[in-house]
Amino acid sequence: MSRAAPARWLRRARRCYLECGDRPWIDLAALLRGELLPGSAAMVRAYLPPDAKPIDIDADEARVIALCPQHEWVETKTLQAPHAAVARLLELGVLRGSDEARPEREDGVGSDAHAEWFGPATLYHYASRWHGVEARPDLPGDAIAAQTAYSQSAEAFAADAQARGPVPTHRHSRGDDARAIELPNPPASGFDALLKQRETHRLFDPARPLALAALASLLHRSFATQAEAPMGGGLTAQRKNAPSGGGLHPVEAYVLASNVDGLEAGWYHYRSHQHRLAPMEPMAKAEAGPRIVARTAGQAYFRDAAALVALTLRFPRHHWKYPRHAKAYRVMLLDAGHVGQLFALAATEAGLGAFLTAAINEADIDADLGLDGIEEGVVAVLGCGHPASDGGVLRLSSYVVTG
Amino acid sequence: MPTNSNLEALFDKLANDDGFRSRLEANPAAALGELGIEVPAAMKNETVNLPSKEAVQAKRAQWLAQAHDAPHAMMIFFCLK
Repeated sequence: MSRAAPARWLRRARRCYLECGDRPWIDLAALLRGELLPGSAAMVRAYLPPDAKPIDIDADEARVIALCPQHEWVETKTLQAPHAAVARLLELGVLRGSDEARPEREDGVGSDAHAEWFGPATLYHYASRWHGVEARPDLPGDAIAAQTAYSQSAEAFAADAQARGPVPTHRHSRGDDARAIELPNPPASGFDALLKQRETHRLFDPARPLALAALASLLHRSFATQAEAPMGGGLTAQRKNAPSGGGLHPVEAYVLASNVDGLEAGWYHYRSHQHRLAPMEPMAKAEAGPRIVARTAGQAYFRDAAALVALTLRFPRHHWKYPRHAKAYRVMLLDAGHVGQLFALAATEAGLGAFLTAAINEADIDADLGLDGIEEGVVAVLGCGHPASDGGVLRLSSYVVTG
Repeated sequence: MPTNSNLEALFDKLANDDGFRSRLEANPAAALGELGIEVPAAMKNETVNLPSKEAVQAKRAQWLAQAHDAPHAMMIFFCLK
């Protein structure tokens, strides 16, 4: 079947990040000899922000993408590319076509927010985003179901060790052993006691709602602006209780209230400069627990968390100072990690339990919050509540044998 | 470049379609071409001896699960910190 000739001129019109690799395939030569043996095949996947799902492209399509610049038009016939490849890329919006005699150079491609990203970071950001991922059905959702989780996971680790070789040691020692200097322990203080108490909680008490004042304290200590410092040109650095690259604090906090006294269930934006919660999406209380589980990729044990706090990054805030910087994305992720520890300590001090998880459906949370993932997008989720009295089965302290 | 759909189609045909299996034995390049799978030139003149339908069926689910690139979190169900 002959296809209509594609446009006379082409240019790249949509951000497109390519991943090259191998995928499981079948050893065709062995198959024809009567054997089923694994093989591998080259693959190229294209990420087309803001779509979360990558698409397979073939070698012809990858070549055309590599030959088409963003701003200049290329005459289609000079590419010597199959019509089908060009047609598919036009359909996907990766290419734009023109039949004009001589189309003018175009400067715009995508949003400015895209242009500020370091390209490989964008690929990682999109390749690690999930949409609609659900954990295994045997994930424990309560303390009873969790009773056998430790022994089951111990068996799974034993099988992994058989299949993949020994686990890298947990006691790493480098440097000159004979001259290693014995260091004094820190003097005991309340801070040490607090640090010792901190651990990840997974099971929460549905009969004990979180007081609004308790939530407010956690938010204030973890996210509130403590002071502002004008740096010139309208750039204002902020002081908060956690450090941030450049004092820019691109981390934003969105609360999904589920079981908070005096607060309707739903999504809120925490305004760190005002210490206020601005409602975004109200929901029935019964809907909040299942939403927590769905957004944390089916981690059923989080169902009774009193509140989630989705950590998003406001990329243009950081990129304004560090455009196309190779370290920008890493520094922003570290910012989110600092806040995670602060939140955990604040919760511990208040007698609450907290967790941080990156096993989340980023694309779905972004959709809840009206975000596109590139101007602003979620990278981790915190949660908190009153610990369930039988929740120890899913806490590491129950299994400690030393220290 | 083959896709997961190619792999799924190949397993389904090998496990269920006698006509396809006959065509594959007679002319591997043409039969695989029906599914959009290219055969390296060096393989085109080999004598064909296919695995049984039962053998293919037995491996189908496991292979497709691996090929479909399940997120790694699915393997982690108890992760204490």
